[in-house]
Amino acid sequence: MSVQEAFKPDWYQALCDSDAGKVGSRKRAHKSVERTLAYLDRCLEKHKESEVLRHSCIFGSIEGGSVAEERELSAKETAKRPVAGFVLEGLDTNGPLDSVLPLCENGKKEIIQSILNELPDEKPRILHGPLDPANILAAVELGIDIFDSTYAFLVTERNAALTFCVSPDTESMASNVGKLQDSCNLQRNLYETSLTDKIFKDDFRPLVVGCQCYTCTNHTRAYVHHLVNVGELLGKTLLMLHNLYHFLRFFEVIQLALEEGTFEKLQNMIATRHCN
Amino acid sequence: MSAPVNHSALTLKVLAECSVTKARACQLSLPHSVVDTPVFMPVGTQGSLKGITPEQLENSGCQIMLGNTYHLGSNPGAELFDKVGGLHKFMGWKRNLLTDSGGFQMVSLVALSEVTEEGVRFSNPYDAKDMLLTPEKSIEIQNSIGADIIMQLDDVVSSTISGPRVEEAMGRSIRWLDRCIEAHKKTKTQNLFAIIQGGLDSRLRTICLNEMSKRNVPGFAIGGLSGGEDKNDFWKMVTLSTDFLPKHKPRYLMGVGFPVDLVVCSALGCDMFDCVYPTRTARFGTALIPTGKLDLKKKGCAEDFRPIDENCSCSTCRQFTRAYLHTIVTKETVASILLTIHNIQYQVFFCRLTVIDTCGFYLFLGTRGGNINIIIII
Repeated sequence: MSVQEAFKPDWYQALCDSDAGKVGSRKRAHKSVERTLAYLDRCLEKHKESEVLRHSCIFGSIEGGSVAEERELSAKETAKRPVAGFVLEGLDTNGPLDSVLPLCENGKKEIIQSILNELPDEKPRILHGPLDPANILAAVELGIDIFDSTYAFLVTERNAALTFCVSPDTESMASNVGKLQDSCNLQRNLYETSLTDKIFKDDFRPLVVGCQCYTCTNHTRAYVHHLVNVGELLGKTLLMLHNLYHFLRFFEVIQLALEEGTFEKLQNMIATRHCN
Repeated sequence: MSAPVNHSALTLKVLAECSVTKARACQLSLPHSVVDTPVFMPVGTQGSLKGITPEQLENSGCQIMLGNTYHLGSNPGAELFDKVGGLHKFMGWKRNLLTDSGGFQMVSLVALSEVTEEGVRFSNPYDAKDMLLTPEKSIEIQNSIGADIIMQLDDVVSSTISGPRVEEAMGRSIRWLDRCIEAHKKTKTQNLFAIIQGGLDSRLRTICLNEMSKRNVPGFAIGGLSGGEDKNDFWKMVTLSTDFLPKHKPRYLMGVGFPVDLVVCSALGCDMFDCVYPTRTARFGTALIPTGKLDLKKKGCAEDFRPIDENCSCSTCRQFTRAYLHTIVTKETVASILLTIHNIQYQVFFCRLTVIDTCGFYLFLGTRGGNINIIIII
């Protein structure tokens, strides 16, 4: 709490015990729930007293590993406390750098659902971790409000650009997929395109045609390909600028779809164009 | 006989000359933009300046930067430059570019190269293929890259070598200059500079100066120095060259250097400089400041909430403190980018300020250069 007071954040997460593991015992899962609630109560006391943190929001963490009853308990109890929002902990893969957090694995979707059933509608819910577009949409559908940029970062780390279609205005590279898959066995999926592919050596179009990010308005696939090919730092910088922009644009599109009532259409588009 | 037609895409206007030293402030007009001299040129070897976007580089005040023909000729290769229309277009840099000939690798990769009258044979470390770099080939690649200033292929020997090899290299550089002039196809948009060689031997340097200045080139470089030789020998060769070279053409001192070298060599009449020092030292966590160097890794910076230099207007000094930089230096990639931006802007402006007006240079030595003890016999 003294660290939080020094940082003066807009919002912060109360200390929690998330070490219940992927396949943990019920006992360990229960312990993480109890401990986290105990930490939360102590943090809340300090928060109440703190002059410095008067304008900061404290979030509680939902624990319980993969045990549905523990998750429900954690959610119910945390919801009773005067927190500003909730962090759904312990669902991250914590796996290798190229992993994506698949919600359809190990009953994660059901666990998230059971948590959200207990949480109040009017407080935000955060789910951390590298979620790809389909998984983000699945999480949004369940009721998650806040995500982080880990996925965009991991795409950059492997010298790739996010190229999945975010709106009718931007031409997806998916139309080139046939050619790409022939020449590039490393093609991971249709959300991203690796700029290490020699096919881009003399391709003078932007990473995504129609994209308004710094990289796409000032540089070409050929230049980015050259930079990553010779190991120049600027390559990753330009990719990160694009990937973050593209990723944020996706969230704008989600918000728009929810407002217009076309969310299901968006899910179908992502699923048919981009999922294997 | 009529005067030779001037095809050069360059004009040099001397704005002011120091009344005490040989320093001068000039305006160098090149195809892409005007350059204020004395000018420091940062080195972006492979078509990029270590993490800096062209926009950031422009904002730091840089008017001309270097690319390396040897690297660019390998990746992405001359053919691609022909396709895209040159390095300016390829990397999105609107101001000036200078490419070296690829010859410097002769000195730095000497184990892998063999020099004959024909050219330099390299064993390319990228693909283990043999590459023969002739004067013609070097110019051809540089024509494709499209830099505003291109350098002749010269026979470079280390400044620490003496004996007949030095004279051989000097003579060959003259012959290679003629071959480069012959091979150069884009005289209206690219300026071919000659490079004076001759090691640390004044007799050889003088021969070279005599011969090369007979050729109608838009500018001259002083090469073969800044390779670890004694400073006492170094500046003597510099001043010998600037005494001889025509005043109305720019003088480029290659591979220089540290701030003190910029001051001294500006005093000796040089206009253009290049060095990897400021960008390299940035990546090791060192910032350049008026009193010398600031090592941001040092504990003393941990609670120092001043910018690197209170008088610096670079984006790093406007936004970040020494304390913040101390926490990220050598840990986060962005630290080297922030320091690189500062060091480039610092060095570029430092170089320009060495000559303010006719009397400015000597005053400058008194104020900014105060920590440097210089004894120059001119």
